[in-house]
Amino acid sequence: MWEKKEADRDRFDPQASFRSEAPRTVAAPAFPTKTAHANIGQSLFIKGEVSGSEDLTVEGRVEGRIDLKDHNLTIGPNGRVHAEIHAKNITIVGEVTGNVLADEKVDLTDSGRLVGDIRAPRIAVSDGAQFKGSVDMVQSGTERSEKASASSHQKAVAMAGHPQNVQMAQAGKAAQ
Amino acid sequence: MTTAGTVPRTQGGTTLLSQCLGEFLHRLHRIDTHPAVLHLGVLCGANIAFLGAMGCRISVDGHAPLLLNHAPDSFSGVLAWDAISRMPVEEATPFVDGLRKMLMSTGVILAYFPGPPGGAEASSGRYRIVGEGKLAIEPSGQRHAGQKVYQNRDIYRLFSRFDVVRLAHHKSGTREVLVAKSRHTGKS
Repeated sequence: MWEKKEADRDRFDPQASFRSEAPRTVAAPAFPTKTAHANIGQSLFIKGEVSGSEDLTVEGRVEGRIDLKDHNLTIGPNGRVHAEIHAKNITIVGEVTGNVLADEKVDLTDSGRLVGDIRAPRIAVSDGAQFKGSVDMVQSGTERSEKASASSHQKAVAMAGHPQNVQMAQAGKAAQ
Repeated sequence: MTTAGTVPRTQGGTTLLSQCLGEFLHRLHRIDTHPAVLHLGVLCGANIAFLGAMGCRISVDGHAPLLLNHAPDSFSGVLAWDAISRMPVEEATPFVDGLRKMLMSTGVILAYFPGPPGGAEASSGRYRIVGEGKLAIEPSGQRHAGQKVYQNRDIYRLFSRFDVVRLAHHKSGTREVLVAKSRHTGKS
């Protein structure tokens, strides 16, 4: 009998550990990578090139060049940027002097001020925004193929009816 | 010269049934498939979206048209809206001459000259394209007390070096004019 108990104790039971233990919890990583976001504070002044692989908000001053190819850039209400800018999405709440190139969208808000040229597939200019420059709504590769099947002219007529902050998708983005 | 139709009210101002906008857009695309357009007057994001969707490259000069410094023959069209009527009379003619230099040989200008202030309908402010033949006009900024109200003869005189394609007089008093840069003047 004693020997039988020993044998039972040594037998492996795959369910046993799950039955007896409390539910496991996984600790959150100390630095969440997916929502990485940098901030250039109000008192900072950077002269030169700013590049990186995370989203960035500028509340201070930057002169030179900002390059965040696959990430979003926000020029905050206190941000003053005198630079060539390239990012995925660019939101301008403060002031920018320089050309702006976005892979997806440029959003010039009602308090935003931009002196420079915009080049992006989608552009939103809120009424009240200050803008001096030119706009070239370039298309991304996928949008270009979508556009072939859709009349851009008809889209323009439909989209022009939006009252205030008009967002523009040059190809079939609006329908998605 | 034609007299345009009804001007229904909208929430933010009035709607104007344009007699010239459609022709302006058609001419742009006859000139170029990717025409360059100069947008003057009060900035309107909807117009940029509309024109961008039509394949236009848009240049915006906002409230400081006198600072224009574009190269000659660089635009297929100019959307002047009411920018000319807002400037002092003595500056209007040289300004229009400057626009002419910036236009390509077959380029066109679309301009609006609001009626007397205090009228029932808003006719000065932000011009928003809501369709090929339709504009929404939202009051924006103040009209100067001494601001000139252009009559037809003033408009013809102002654009004397252009071909006036169409001049429409709306019930609100607004005059809408589409002019083309003449090919045969020999002046530029």
